[in-house]
Amino acid sequence: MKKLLYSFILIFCSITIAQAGGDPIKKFYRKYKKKDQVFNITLPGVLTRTCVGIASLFVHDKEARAGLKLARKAKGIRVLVDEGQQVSKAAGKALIRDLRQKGNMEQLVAIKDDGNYTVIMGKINGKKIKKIVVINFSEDQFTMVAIKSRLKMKHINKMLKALQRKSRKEKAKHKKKTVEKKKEPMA
Amino acid sequence: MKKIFVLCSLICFLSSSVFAQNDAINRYFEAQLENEIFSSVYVSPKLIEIVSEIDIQALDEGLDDGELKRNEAAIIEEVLKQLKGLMVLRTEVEPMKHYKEILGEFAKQNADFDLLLSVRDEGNHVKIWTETTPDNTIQELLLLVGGEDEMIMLSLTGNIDLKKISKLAGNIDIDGIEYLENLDKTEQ
Repeated sequence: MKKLLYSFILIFCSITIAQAGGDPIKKFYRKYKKKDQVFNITLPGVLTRTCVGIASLFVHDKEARAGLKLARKAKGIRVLVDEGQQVSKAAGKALIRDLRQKGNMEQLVAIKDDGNYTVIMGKINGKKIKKIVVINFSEDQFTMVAIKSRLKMKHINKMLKALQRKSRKEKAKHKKKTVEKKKEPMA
Repeated sequence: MKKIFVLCSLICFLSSSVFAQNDAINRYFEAQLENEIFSSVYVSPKLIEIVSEIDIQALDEGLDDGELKRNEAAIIEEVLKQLKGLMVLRTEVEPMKHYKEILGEFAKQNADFDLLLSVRDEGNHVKIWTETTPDNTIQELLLLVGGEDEMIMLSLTGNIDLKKISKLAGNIDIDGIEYLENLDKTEQ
């Protein structure tokens, strides 16, 4: 019985370690987060949802609430900013390669201009955006932002509709004021 | 048996020649990604698919001042649904040298591309090629601009409608796309 229990614990630990080791973002983040002049922040999903939950108690604007609903879809955020040239170009490119090969992510956009190189990688499952990683290299800085989410296009469209309604209301108000000013008798 | 073998080899050779044409441009593009003198933009089919799901009218009115008319937003949505990818390569260093290099690469392969437009305008050489399927659908558009100031190579893939692309060109801020604005007149 004891042997069986130890075997289960060993298998469980191996699987956990293998999965953690297998995630290229986690691996990269752990490697560089404690280096000099590297800024890092991890926001677990629970914290994001809690903060959004608290904020929604004080926010009554419909459009802002639509934005908060969108923020609730983030399951976790990791940010790594290197200003001390700890992350070499080769390491950054290796990360992109690993994200593609081991992380099953695909390159959505790549833009290179004036020494700045930005890549956006994504893991999209049907219509669900499961993970987005934005990587930026420049002469003196490396930035990585990784977001896990449960976002779907319909959520983004809902928020855009809310912004559209707000924009139309403001335009209508502005138009009404302009018309009223014109109607006022000339002095 | 010999005849079947020869026929299969011929089919493989021909299909690889067709793919090789697109590959030549792709290879050149990938080779220049490492070259510091080039700026580049690559937009994948996946991202275009995602963006095509966005309500363009709502995006325009929600984030900007709502400059798009309703029919323009509808055209943009239609075009995005048909596009498969976008690549842009640009340099200001020895632009005519790189322009001729790309022309040379392009001319090497026995292409299914047809020259749609060739213009020389104020020192700029502009060439546009298209690759059409047997049912006259344009599946790739290649724009090449070479001048004193810059060289631009732009490749659009998908089911391309020239009239709609020329309307879209006015609303997108990507280097080189302004040369596509008058395409619909060319088709006439």
